[in-house]
Amino acid sequence: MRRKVMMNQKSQQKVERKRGVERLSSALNIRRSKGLVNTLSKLDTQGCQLDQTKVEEIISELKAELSKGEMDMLLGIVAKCYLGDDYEVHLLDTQFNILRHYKRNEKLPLEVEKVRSLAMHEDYAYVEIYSDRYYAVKHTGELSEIKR
Amino acid sequence: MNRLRHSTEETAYQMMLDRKISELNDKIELVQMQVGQVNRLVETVKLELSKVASELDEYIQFDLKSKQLQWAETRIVGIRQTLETKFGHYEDIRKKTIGIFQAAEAGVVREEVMRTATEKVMISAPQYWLASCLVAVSAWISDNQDLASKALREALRRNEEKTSLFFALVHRRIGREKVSEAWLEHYFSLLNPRDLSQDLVVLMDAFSIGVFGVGGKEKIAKQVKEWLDRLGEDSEIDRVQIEEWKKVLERKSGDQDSEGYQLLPVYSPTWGTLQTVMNHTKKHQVIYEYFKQVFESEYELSARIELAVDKILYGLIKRYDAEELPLRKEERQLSLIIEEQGDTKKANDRLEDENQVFEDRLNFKQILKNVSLHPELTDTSKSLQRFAIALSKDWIIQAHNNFTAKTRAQVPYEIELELGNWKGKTTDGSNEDELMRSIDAHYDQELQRVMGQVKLSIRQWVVSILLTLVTLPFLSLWSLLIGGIIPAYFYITKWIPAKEANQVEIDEKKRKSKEILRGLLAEVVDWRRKFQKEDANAKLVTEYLGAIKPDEFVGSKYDKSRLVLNQ
Repeated sequence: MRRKVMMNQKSQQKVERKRGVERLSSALNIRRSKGLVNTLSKLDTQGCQLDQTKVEEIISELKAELSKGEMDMLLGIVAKCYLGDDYEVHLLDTQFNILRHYKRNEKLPLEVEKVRSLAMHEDYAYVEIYSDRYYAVKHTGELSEIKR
Repeated sequence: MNRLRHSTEETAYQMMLDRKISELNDKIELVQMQVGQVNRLVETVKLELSKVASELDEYIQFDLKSKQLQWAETRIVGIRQTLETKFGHYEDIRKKTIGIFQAAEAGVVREEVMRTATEKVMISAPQYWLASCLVAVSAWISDNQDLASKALREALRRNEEKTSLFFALVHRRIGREKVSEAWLEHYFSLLNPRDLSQDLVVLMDAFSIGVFGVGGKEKIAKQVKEWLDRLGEDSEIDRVQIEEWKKVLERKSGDQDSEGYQLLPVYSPTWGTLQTVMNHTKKHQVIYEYFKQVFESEYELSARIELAVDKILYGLIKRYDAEELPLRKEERQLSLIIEEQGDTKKANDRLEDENQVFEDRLNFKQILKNVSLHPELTDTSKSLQRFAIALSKDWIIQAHNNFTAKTRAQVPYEIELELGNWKGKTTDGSNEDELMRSIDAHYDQELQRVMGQVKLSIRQWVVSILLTLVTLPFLSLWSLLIGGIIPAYFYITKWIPAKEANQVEIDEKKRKSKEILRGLLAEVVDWRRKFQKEDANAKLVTEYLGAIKPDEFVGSKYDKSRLVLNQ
């Protein structure tokens, strides 16, 4: 019985992962929730040093909304920074659970630097960085896909 | 005595050494001069070679295009002859089909004449489905039920889909709604939304212009919704559809020149990217105007339903059958090469856009895309084009969003500037002070470097030192003054004038560089402003398409009932 349950769980994980990858295949009809967009747009509210607990809460919120397949491929979130003092963007590294703020002219990691202009565009709340693509997320939650 | 002799020998040796060094110096200077001349010659040759290579390349391209054009013009004649030989008689059958309806309506042709004409057609086109349909219709008009049934069975055997659609339209033409709906149901039962014949556009065309009655419209609307729902479960189809629409949007409007910038093209390595981004961004306005033109241009519908159905029927029967498609595709490719004056790359780009028009089987979404983009090639009405775009709007909007995001991601964060050896960067032109200071520092260094080359030669140094040494026993410290004559002379007559001349030259270069820099920063500010303005047009496309409702484009000219589509 226990073996059957474990096998079912494994099959389910496989199906979920496949669904996650499939969902990642098309941005049509996918929308991020208002709550998630608000959370990821307001990473600056607690100032420069965000509590590690808070970072982990944000990661959990992402995990609740994205499928396991998507989370496996998600590398980070980059968004415009409103801290002032020359801070321009911030990067939430979802693999190491780190949030870092970057100043004007301070270089981001190479693959993230490519979407810096996008993250700073007023139409987008933030940009999701995956291993094979980017999703620019509007304030309405709609996604726009850019292949890497 | 020995000491004096030793001292004299040393002096002679030193003088010989000094002479040799001086000769070597002169030779080195000569070689340097010659090397400089050779370098200049090499640069000139490189420039000339580059010009020649460019002209040669142009000539080769021109020659290639001419040859391709000639070949296409010859080949297309052959293709058309083959089409005429193999399929030319199909055209005769198509004309007879329409002729039969109109003749029967007018009552101007005897039944035996109709029967003979149609039976001949069966013999001349043994596998052609329309030939059997024609016999069936003729037999039906003559009230020969037995022959009509046989011919109908044969037509269904040859091509069940086209035959079913044909009779659905025929019955609609003569006002037999219920029979028409029954044929429609049979037609739909044969179809798989992932693998449809392009004949479906005929039905969709009839639907969009309002040929069908209430019952027919509802059946079709329900079927369309069911297909879209089924295909919607497959995200791969959506993904492909969005990607194809994105390519269409990227290609549709063509490249445009980014004019008005004099300095950025010359002094910025980032210029290529800036130009590409601006060209793409200007497409939003073009795309918006394209869709606006599709939805707001006038078009006419036939006054009577019979004429409307005849047009649709003719559209069905003259569509290329599967066996014709490869030749038709080649004919289209050749005609594009001729239109593009032998430029095969441009011709193939256009053909790629139209490629699916020549596929025999497609999924429903691909058919909608064909009709949306190429009504002239799919031989469908403006009405259907609007309806198809309206049904496809979600994919088009998503494709446009993806295209917009991709373009915005390409906007350079920093714009590089290069003036000679000086390099700088700016994001928005606001760091003028910082860049000016950088130019100052650069030219200060340049002056130092140049002045570092204005110095006493080794010979002069040696002579000065010798003079000092020789006079030292006699004049003690005054010998320093004697030895210092040459350096002093050098300083006054060479170094100071050189410094002044170089300072003037460097100052002029600095002044010019700063002037160019100011111009560059102004152009950067202007570029950023223009980009924002063009970028804002992206909203025009999404808002315009977002407001469109498909059921507004289902015609009701021939039947006043209004259909509401649930999507």
